Amino acid sequence: MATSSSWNPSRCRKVSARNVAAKDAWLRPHGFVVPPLGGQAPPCRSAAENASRRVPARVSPPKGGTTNAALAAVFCLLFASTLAFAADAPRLEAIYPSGDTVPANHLKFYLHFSAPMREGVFLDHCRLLDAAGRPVLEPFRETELWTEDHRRLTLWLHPGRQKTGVNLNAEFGPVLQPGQSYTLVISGAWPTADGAPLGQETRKTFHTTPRLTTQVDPFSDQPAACCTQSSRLSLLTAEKPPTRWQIRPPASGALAPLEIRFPYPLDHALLLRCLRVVDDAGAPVAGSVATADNERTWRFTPTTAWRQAAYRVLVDSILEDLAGNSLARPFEVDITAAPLKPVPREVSLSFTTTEPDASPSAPITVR
Amino acid sequence: MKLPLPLLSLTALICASLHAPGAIAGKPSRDLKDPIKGDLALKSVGQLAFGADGLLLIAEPGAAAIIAVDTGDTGPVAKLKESVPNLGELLAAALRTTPDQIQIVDMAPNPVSGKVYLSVRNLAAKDVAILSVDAAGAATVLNFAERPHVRVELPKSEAGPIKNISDLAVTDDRVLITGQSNEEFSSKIFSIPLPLSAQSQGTIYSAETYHVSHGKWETKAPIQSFIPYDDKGTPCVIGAFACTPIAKFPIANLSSGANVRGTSVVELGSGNRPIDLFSYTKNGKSWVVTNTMRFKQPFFGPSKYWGVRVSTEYLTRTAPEEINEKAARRDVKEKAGPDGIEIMESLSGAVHIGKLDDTTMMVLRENGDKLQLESVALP
Repeated sequence: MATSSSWNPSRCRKVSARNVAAKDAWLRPHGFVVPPLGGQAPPCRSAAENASRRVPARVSPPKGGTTNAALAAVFCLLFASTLAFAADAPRLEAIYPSGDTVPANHLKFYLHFSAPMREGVFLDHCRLLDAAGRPVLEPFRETELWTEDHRRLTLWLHPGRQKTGVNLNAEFGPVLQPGQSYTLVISGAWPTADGAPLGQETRKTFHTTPRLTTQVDPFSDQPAACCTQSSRLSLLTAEKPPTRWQIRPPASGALAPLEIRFPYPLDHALLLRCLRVVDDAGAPVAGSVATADNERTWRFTPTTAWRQAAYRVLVDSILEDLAGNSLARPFEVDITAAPLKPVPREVSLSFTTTEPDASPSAPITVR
Repeated sequence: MKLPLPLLSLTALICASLHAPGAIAGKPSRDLKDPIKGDLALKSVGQLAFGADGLLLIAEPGAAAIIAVDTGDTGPVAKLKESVPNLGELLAAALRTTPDQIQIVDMAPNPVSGKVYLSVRNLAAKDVAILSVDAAGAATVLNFAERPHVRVELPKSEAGPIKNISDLAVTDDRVLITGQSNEEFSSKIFSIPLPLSAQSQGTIYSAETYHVSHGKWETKAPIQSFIPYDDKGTPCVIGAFACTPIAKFPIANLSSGANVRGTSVVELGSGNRPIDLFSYTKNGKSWVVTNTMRFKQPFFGPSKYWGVRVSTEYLTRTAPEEINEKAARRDVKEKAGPDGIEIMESLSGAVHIGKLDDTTMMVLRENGDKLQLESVALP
């Protein structure tokens, strides 16, 4: 009884488009112009930032009883409501990976929405265009994968097209070719769970490098065997790219973030849950996690000040790069080659905090 | 008191829509241990499957859980008499909304009663529901609050961010569930021993599923749909991978933390996505039936949905020259063949299929912009 997508008996009726038209028809006779919404996805904002962007809905009642005052109050109320509507309108808040360069065997995008979205319609609202603006044939995996709050969709490029030698790959070729530009288009007609459309189309243009096919290795002294040095350079910001991960230890006695830098972007969602910090006794250190530099940097800010001591970062070996290669194994394993080197479930990276009030240290290569 | 006719009809409608299917009181399902009663409180609905004696499995993908309900719907069998030409309209009316406000997620016929069960999202109410359609073509919104049920959550240590339950099935001794992660490229098959209990967590284990192409490249491979299958006395799973052929692996290979590699036995041709699977036996021959969606021309008929039956002789093959990259292949450019792999005209447009018995399948077929529910004879 299996399927991955639901069936709307009236899908062809374009519910979303009708809702857009209905809302527009209601607003125009009242003389209001709906501010543009959405647009190019901004980076993820914190809850506090989002809260500060909201327009207060509460309006002070008018003093006195004149008609003008009453009209002014009504106008203010309607104006404030309109602004509040704009601020609270659903948005596509972010798309990950946040950079504009991915390997040709890139696997997935994360779409972050400000509101729970409608299930069962995502393929109607996502398109992939090539550099000439032509749609790429069936680029997405049909399986619909939401977070529990329905605010993040994992949009997979079809693995059957991206895997070497699988029938789809052999017959239709990969979704992405190296050295090309593509545009991911998210329709503004995509409705939320409440039926309100996003309002404006979002486009993310990105470029592709050669395929990335090697295991993620924090201790590697070699660039990935799959890629030429020049192609690997295109994924990096440093002039002389490090191949190992680098740690910038924080100063003790403070809440400065611990920072780990990677030679190329890793998977955003997995970065948020696959690394944890423990103290010298192995006890978990509480704190918050963020990514930066297009997912080439992971930051951990503790809730209490660092002690002057040794710590470890434990990295779950399921952590993947953009092409599905993890610490545990490459996305595609050549079973005719030498067996893979076993990788522990968690890989340990050690660091020691610096002296209190020390100036920020240079990144240290992991060992 | 005599009710006015409209009010009487409304009352009858409400009673009908809230009527639990378990009008037939029987002994509790042997496959449930310490079941409870009360609102199922479903947060989401996904795949459906039936076990023995009206035991209904409901996937709750958002919560990475399944609910097993002893429906009490134990027959006798009454098959759908006439096709339901617009199932969306019928279900929407039962849910008191319009067809554009519902989404049909999955369908499963109950083999012991003939009723067809459907998991449905009610967009207008921001709710989910399970409905049934009986032999007369009447839809009922099911309320299982008074029926014994068990809710089993997949253990987080095993499931991780597995949020998509792609299929589930009951064997003689266990429930099998396939799931896919919404973060890492991970696909797992879970095994839960019977009887099911809310405390089953500690007994659940999972294995990762893999596929090898061209005898060289091994990748994790999600199973889209599957059925338990007895391969000459060896209990097996016959699974359709999302991007590769129909493959099999022995259930004995499933052990905690194992990596399970499927043996490809049939290739339906690229550009097809398998949806449902079932097996049946007729006139001494056994077949596996699947419906798929082809995303690229040429289609096999007016619809991108089509179906095929495959002789189970293909499933028992083990010789290296007959499996994996050398498995029998359905050539999409040919109208027929190879022998024992037959396109079924009766599955043209089939969005969902389910076996009722060895003579009849239920087909949910696209018909223009409508969905038609039919009872179809198996060839």
